[in-house]
Amino acid sequence: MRTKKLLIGVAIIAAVLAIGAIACSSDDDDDGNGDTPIATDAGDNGNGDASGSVLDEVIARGTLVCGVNNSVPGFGFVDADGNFSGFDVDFCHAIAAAVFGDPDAVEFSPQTAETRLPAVQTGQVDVLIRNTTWTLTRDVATGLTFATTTYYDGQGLMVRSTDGFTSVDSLADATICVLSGTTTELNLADRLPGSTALGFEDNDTLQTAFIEERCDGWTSDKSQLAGRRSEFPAEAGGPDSLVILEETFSKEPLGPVTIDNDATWSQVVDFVAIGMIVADELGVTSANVADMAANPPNVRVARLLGVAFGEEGAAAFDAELGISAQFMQDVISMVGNYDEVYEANVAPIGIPREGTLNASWLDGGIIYSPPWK
Amino acid sequence: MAVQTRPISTSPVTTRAVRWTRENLFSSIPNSAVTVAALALLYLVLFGSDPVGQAGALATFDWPDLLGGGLIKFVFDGADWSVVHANRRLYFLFRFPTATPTAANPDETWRIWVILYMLSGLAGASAGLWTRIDLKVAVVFLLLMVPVSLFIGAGAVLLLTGGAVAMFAASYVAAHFAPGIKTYLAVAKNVAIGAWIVAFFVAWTLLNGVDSRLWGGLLLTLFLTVVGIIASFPLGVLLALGRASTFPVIKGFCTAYIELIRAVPLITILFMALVFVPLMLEPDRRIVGLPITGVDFDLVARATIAITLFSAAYIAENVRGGLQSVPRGQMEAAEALGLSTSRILAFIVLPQAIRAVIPSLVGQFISLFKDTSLVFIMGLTDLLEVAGIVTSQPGFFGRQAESLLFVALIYWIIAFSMSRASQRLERTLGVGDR
Repeated sequence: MRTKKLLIGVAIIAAVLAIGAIACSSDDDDDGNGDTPIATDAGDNGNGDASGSVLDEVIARGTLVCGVNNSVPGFGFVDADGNFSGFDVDFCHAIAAAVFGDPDAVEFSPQTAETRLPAVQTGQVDVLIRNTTWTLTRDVATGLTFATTTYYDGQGLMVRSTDGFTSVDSLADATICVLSGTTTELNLADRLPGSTALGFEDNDTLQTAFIEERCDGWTSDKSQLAGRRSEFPAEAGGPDSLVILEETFSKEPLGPVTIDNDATWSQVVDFVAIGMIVADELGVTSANVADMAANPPNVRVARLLGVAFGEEGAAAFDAELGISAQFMQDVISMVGNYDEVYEANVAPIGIPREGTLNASWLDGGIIYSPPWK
Repeated sequence: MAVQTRPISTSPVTTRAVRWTRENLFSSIPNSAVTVAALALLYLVLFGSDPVGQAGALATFDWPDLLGGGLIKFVFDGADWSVVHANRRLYFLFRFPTATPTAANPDETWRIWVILYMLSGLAGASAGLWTRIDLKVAVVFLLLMVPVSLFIGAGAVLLLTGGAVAMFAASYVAAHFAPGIKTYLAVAKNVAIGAWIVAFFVAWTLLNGVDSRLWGGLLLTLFLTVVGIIASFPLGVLLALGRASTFPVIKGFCTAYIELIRAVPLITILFMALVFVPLMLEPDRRIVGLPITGVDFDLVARATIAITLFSAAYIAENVRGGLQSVPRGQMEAAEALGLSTSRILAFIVLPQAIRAVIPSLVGQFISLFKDTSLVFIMGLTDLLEVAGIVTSQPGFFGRQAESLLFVALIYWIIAFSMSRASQRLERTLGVGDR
């Protein structure tokens, strides 16, 4: 009698679990996210047909959900008033300005290193702009689309200027402080296999160890090293006591990320960033954009701003991205061009644009835009 | 063994202190050794490792070297508390609108003040009705709010905080000295309990006037804790009763649930709530074929549910321990008297079972409170996460020690209050006196 009752119980529980498992697995199949390269209806036709695109969802919702970092100085952090601020954050504002004409129609969703990619895959964020390196695996296997690179970062080494290290090779058998569990640690082992890596959980404890001279070098992305150097405490010698060595020994192209198979949306994100670079190249700034739109100096500026140029009755250029043809006017007047965003956020943490990879190609850098026509 | 000849009333305080010290700290050689070692360690943490230098500085009153080189010196001399002061709003409310109000983005801080006033009033009235509640502790913590609001600075905030303290005091006096209150004490207590329940829903409604994506800091930590405790306790009791059930389906399900949840780390459950819920809901928001439109599983809701489900499994095991402590004869006696099963549980078994496990239940609640800091993995910004975030603002790099010390103090105040409340409750109910 008891055994029979028990068996019935087990059978019921097994049935419930089986139904649950079937329901879950069929849901997974429906989703077809990322790993299976199935083109959905939105995927194969970028222009015109925008059915099922994230762009439609964003417009219907009235706000852009932007995945950002909340603790990287200069790129994504929260100021004392609770506002997100930084270089990456300004690109979120730019996309909102392009779609809605309102740079503040953004809802920021802070992401950790672990949650950021699932957040894009599951559609919790419309776009991720969180110092995410473009790699083959992330682009292909994880099913993401990377927009144009907005910042070229790379791993570097910082040493005390009094120690006499002049190149990365001179630290071949030195002790080097590094954040544990990061690609930075792996890159260090590749570049300086003879060195001793001293791992830390966060930059503050690492800095304390560096001040106590427990290591000779400090390795991280150069943008982060520069940020740390600019605020190095005076009692420990101040910024001038530190040197960031010239060599960069890893490639970290950072840019906005969207989900695969949604060309309509990916192109909006991509061309907002590209448009800001074009504006920099053409000298269109937040200060002069209104004048330039009213009276474009040349046809390239007219195309960027979506206004007519030349004789009476000429058609204005429309980028056909599914948003206003004059979206770049809003982006530039409300947020600024690439250079303005860089100068407002990255230059203050001690990384001047000039002479780095992030200078315009006109000035010897590699920030370069495809033709806007 | 103990010498009981001391004339307490006539001996001076110093003699009594010496006697107490000798009896409690130096009663035997091992005890003396432990006392000395503990004092040395305490000195090391508070004042650093250079007692000779500190003594010299103390003699010449050489500020700040007289503070030594440990925690005390850091707090009063080395630390730059401007990181905490500049970000005070972030610690308490994070991005709750708004520090910089605009027409499109109105200030919603009044919701917090209404809730604070409501709770202060209720706490005061309850303290007045249940006179056995430890008023000393309440007064100390309320007085602590004054330096906190002084630190926060703005006159309006000080006024509002002072108002909350006054509210507490006024409600206490009103409830305690109301004419004829003795006659209606039982009724008044029931009204107060009802008011707490109503207050919970009022607070809930007020908070939900603001998008939960903007909740953060201490507000989010307390929300997760309070809702987590209130929801997981009944669920845990039901699971414990289910596990003790003789019906195999219920018993099997409850046992499987408890063992499954207890075998998985909380961080895993939170991560599953983050990743799997949208996978199961999208694209057309269905679970097992049923549409669930109209239900918004935002991140805070998912975190609250995950924490509740996790905590319920542990509470179930605590309560089961209590159930086993109730002698079987009592249930049989109640059955013989003809009481129904639900009445036996409600009036005989559960009151005794839960009373027996109050310490471990409160331990579970305190641990739930601290575990809420794991929600950072979901991209939520709780109190501890704010402590890390503010040090990436330009000007505050490397100020993590100050930030973490401040947050640790807040955690300690709350956890210690919970612990004290539990001790008080145990004494009131006479746990351990049987």
